[in-house]
This record gives sequence, C-alpha cells and structure tokens, in this order.
Amino acid sequence: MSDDIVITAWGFADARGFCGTRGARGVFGQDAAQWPEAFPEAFPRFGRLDPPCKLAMVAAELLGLKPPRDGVHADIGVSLGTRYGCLDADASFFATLWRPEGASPALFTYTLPSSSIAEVAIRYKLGGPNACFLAGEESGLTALWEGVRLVESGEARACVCLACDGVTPGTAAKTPGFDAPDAWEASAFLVEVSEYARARDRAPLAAVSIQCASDTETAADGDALSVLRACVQGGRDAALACPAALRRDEVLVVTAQR
Amino acid sequence: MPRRHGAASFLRKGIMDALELEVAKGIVEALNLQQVAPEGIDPTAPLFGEGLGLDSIDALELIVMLHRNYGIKIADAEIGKAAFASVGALAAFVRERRVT
Amino acid sequence: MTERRVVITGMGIVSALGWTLEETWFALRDERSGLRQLSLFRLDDRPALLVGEVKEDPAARSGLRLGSRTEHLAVCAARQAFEHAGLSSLPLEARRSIGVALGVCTGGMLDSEEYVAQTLCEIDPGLELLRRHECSCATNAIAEALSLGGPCSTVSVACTSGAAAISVARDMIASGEADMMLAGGADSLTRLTVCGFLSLLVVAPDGCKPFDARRAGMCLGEGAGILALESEAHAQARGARALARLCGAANTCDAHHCTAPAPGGAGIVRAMQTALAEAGLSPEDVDYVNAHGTGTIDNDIAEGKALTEVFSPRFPWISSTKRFFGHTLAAAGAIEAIVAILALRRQYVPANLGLEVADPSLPFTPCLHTTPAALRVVMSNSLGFGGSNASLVFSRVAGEEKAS
Repeated sequence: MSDDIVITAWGFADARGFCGTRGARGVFGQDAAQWPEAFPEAFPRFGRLDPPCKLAMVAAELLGLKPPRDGVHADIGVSLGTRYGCLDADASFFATLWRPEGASPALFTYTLPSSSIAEVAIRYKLGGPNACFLAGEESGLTALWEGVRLVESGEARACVCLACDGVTPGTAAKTPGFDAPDAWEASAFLVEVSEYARARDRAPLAAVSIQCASDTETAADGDALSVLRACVQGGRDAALACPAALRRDEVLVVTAQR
Repeated sequence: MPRRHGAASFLRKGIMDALELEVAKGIVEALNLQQVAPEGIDPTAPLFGEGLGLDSIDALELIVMLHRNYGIKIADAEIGKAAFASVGALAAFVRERRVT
Repeated sequence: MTERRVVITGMGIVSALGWTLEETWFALRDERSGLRQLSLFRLDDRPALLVGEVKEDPAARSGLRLGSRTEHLAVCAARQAFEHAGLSSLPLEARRSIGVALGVCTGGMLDSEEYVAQTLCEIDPGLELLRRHECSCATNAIAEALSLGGPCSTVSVACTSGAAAISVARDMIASGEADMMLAGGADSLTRLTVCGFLSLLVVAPDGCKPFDARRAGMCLGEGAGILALESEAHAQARGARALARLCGAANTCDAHHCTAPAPGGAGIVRAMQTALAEAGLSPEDVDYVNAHGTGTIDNDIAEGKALTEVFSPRFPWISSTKRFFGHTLAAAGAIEAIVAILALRRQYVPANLGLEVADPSLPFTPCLHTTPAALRVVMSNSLGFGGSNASLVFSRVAGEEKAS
C-alpha cells in the first residue's frame, strides 16, 4: 500500500567501528580523529563537534541522505533519543565557567540534549518536525517510536530516528551515581512512507507498523535497537514493545524485506 | 606561551611573521581545527565565510582566546568582526591592543 | 486515525510575575515587568543582571518533599492547571488515563551545579544532588504528585520545548491515545544558562527591548506553564468549561546554524503556514501574535521578516512579552501560549513591554500598551537554538473563528 511505512537505511557507530547501508569500516579503536573516514568529502566542521554529535553524525551519514540543491527537505523530520547526551558537554562547560577569560561559547551550544539534531539537520538540510525525547534507558526506542508515529500521522514523509549515548571515562568517574555507559554508541534509522522512498530509489529493508500487542505473536526481546539492527541487516522479523512510559499495549512489528 | 613583540618585518602575501604564526596557532588550538596546519594558513585570506569557513560561534571563541592569550577584552561581537577579517588583521589587532 | 478537536480546560503558571493566573494577568494588564536583579546565585565579577527570577522558593509551595527547582516549578504549575480544569476531586481510577508531556532544557542543572561546585571545593556532596539531573524527573514528578497513569513524554528542543510538548500532547489526544494530557514546559535559572548566554554576547544586563531600534539583547527568566488539554467530546461529557481550542500546531527546523536563526526566518514562516493550514485558517483570520521576540539583534530581524512574509500587508496585533517574564527557555512556549489564551479570554492585547522606538526596518509596530481588542484567533510562536521553530494557533470555542 502506498502509505506503508518502511525502513530504507540504517547506520551504527561505536568505538569499534561503524557500519550501515552505505558500507562498513572495521575496527579502528577509540580514536575519534579517524571517524572522518565515514565522510566522502572533507568535513572541516567535524572536529568542532562534541563526541555525541560526532557519533550521531557518523551514524546519520551512513543513511546516504543528500541535501537538496536549494532550500531544505521540509518533509523529513528528525527524532533523537538520548539519556546522557549532553552530560559530557555540561561537565566540560562547567570547567570553563570560572575561567578568568569566561565560559566557552562553543561548548555552551552543546549543553542541550538536542544539539545532535541541529548538526544532522544542518548537514542534510532536514527542515521537518524535530524533537529530542528523554526517557531514561528507553530514550532511543522512544525516538524510533515517535519517528514512526510522525510519519504515520502525515506530518512528515520521512524521519531520521537517532539514538546516541555515552560519556567519556573522565565524566563517568566523576558521576558514579549515573551508571552512564563509558563508551559511545549511536544508531540511525531512516523511516519513510514507502511511496516517498520508491520515488527516491530507496528500497525497503523492512516494513514497520504499530499494532496492538494482543494481535501479534512474536515477542519483544533484547535491546530494542540491536534487535532492529539485526532485522534490517539480517532479514529477520521482530516485534518491539512500546516504551513503558507511553503506557500503550502496542508493539512495533518489523517485517524484513527479503 | 612565549611572548614575542611584533617584529618589524615586511609582510608578503602568504608569508607569516612570528606574531601571525602565533595567532594562527591560537586559532587552530581554540577552534580545534584538526586538519589545518597553522603555518599553512594564508595570512591575507578571509577567515569567515570562505577561506577557513569559520562562523559566528567561532568568532566568540576567538574573543575568549584573545582574552586568555593576550588579555584583550571584547564585549561587543561587532568589534570582533573587523578584527577577525584574516590572520594578518587579527595579528595587527593583537599588536595594537595586547595587555600581556 | 480519527482527528479529534482538542480544547484547553485548565492552565497553570509560575513565573517572575507570580504564582497564579490572576497575578500574571494583573501584571500583564498593568504593564509591570517581573525582572529584578539576579539573586538566586552569585556570579563573582559578572555584571549585575536583570532576570525573571521567581520570587520565593517554589519548594515551599509544590508539596514535593524532594526535587530540583525545575521539578518544584513544574509541579506547582501542574497542580494549578489540574485544579483549574476541575480535576482535583477526580478519583484515582479516572486519573489512570491522564498523561503528561513536558518540555525541559535545564532539568536538575541547578542542583548538579551545586554538586560540581562542592566537589571543586573538595566537599563530598553525596549523590542526591545528581539524582535529579535528568530532564524526565520533572515529568515523573508531575505524574506522581497528581497520581496520573497516562502516557509520559519528556521533550527537549531548546527554546521550543514547551510548544513541542503541547504539540506532542495534542497528537496523543487527536489520535485517541489519551483523552486528557497536562502539557507545557518548565526550566529554572542556572549558572550554566546565564553564563552560557553571556558568553554568546547576546545578553542585555538591563533587560530585553524586543523589536526596539536600540535593542541590545535578551534576558533570562525561569518558570513553568502547564495547559490541561482535552478532547472536546471528553470535556463536554464531564461538563468542563473549554477556555480555548488548539486548532493548529506545527514544528519545523531551519537547518541553518546551531544558534543563529535562518536570516529570513524561513523555518518559522513554514511553521506558521503549516499551523494555519491545519486550522483551516488564513493569515487574515489571526487577530494577535505573541512573538518569540527575545530582543536579540538576530532573532528580531529574522522574526520580523517572517511575520512580514506571512501577514503583510494586513498585520494582526503583535507583541513579545519577554520583558515581563524574561526568556524562560523550555517554559517559554507554554507560558506564552497561556498569555495568548489569556488575551483571548480577556479580549486584551498585552503590551510589547520595553519597546520605546520600533526598529525602523520593521513594516509593523508591535502593540505598545495593553489594548482592548476583539480577538477570535491568536497565535504563539517560539524559535530555538538549533533552528527549531514552533507555532501554536488557538481560537475561541464559541463564536466564529473566520472573519465574515
């Protein structure tokens, strides 16, 4: 059907490497300076991004989006889920608060949980609805859920669903009460109306739909975004349970296209 | 950082004097420009828009750098705009206004 | 998905203007700014600053035993909205389907700063201060304080967070997921945001003068604004009075720069046009726009151009109320939605406080003084860092929305 919702691209990045629809790189370790390998052209701004923005950008680049010749893609939105997204920026910024020369304006711009949205939107000129969702451990899943709902509602024809989390070891050591993962991980999925995707020569990797839990047989299991990645990579079906905070007895049914 | 007073030198396009090189290093360091060598920057080339393609947040970071490295305080972003036209312009600005 | 009409049945607000809707309205009507010298914390050798600080400690009024300042502000406003909507005596079973959507930027930052400051002084602060860091704490605090069991959503999109949360709540009601939602935004003043905006050289120590020819920047504020949103059918069924209808809501991104708006305001233009289209209205139908109007050079230029593109040549009443409250960040979209609805209810346009001489490049003059006016449709706009834009359109429930 023309208003089926599909996933047409994915990207994943962590310290071990990055991989996605547009290709993969092997192990390269924690050296963030090597991450620009993900970008085909020189991207001078990359060095100025903070770690979560860098990683979200690498994952998003693997989706293969291009900015339009003029203007913006008004019909592509962005949803982001992060729990600890700006903790490092907050800590780094704090360190500059009491300097004689004053606080760092560049670091200040990253003290918002939503700063990765801005960087990704600017690079690919994504002008649609955008929001960062904060839902504890289910932040990434919530962003995916909200992205699917955004496309279902017709407010956008496509949505880049991002999840990004982690803190640097230094910050993790200073904030033991947070249990923040001390390694970075980011994922990106391109969710769109199938007709919109077809018009742009993007083949579906999986179809997704939100259904009542009682109507489905498959059970949700494991870390939701890893399960979804396995679906689009390995051609498996799955059902992801609705984030607990949304209190809906629903699942996201993922049907891999083989 | 060693303090060098502006040496009297002929400024030829593409060749930096000591202060210009120091300022270029300060820019690269303050803005974390990872793929840029300070000595490779043309001191007459624009810093903003084209050239290095810096933006308004970078200008504010340079204002902080000027305070930190040279004791120069700028409270108005407009003053920064003229001073930051190029590495050469910024070095001249520093030469004139430095406190430390 | 069946579209259901969404109405506002209650409102709650805490800000520099006061603790109730009445106090807020009287200050707006009498053109009394809530800005005062910052006293919540010291900033050593920074200049003295006028900010929209909440007078008195919200912790004394929230009924919460523990919480960050943001949580206390949020719960105070939520309790007000709940009571205003006639829900205070609602039995627990009925509260299970009421949810919360909240926009937050700073979260528990004020406490976290205290944690860091104590650590730097080699005092062991204990982890309690950090537990309230996450933005979702405030959403959960509201749900817990009022025993609400419906969907909970915490949204953060810089200065459009409050409006975005209202939009999220509207979507949940319109799609049938929830019959009722409390939605809005909350943020407290923090050293981080005050010093951060100071570092951008966009702060006017004497307070903002939106759209003024000699404007010198923004001023910060804090507070919380909460709307009780409900499907029209649900409100009618329980005999609740609808204050206004939320007939359009849109959110866009400039995709231009992390802090500066797109120069012509293209993103907020699209947001306004989308919200109006959704409402089935044209620009001529809008009687009053509460502008974002922070008073920075860039924002007011971009927003001025955007308003011109959408409304010229027939401009509605326009005012920015930032000099009353300060820029309350995540709370702004919600606080200003409430101001727009108060204008609709009282049939008065609030003043663009702080304006002395309008910027000559603007083809419109914002409303200089509180002015009685026939208002049927009002709009509230927000622009945020990262190029996020939001536009909300409210109409009177009774009477004609469209000009005849």
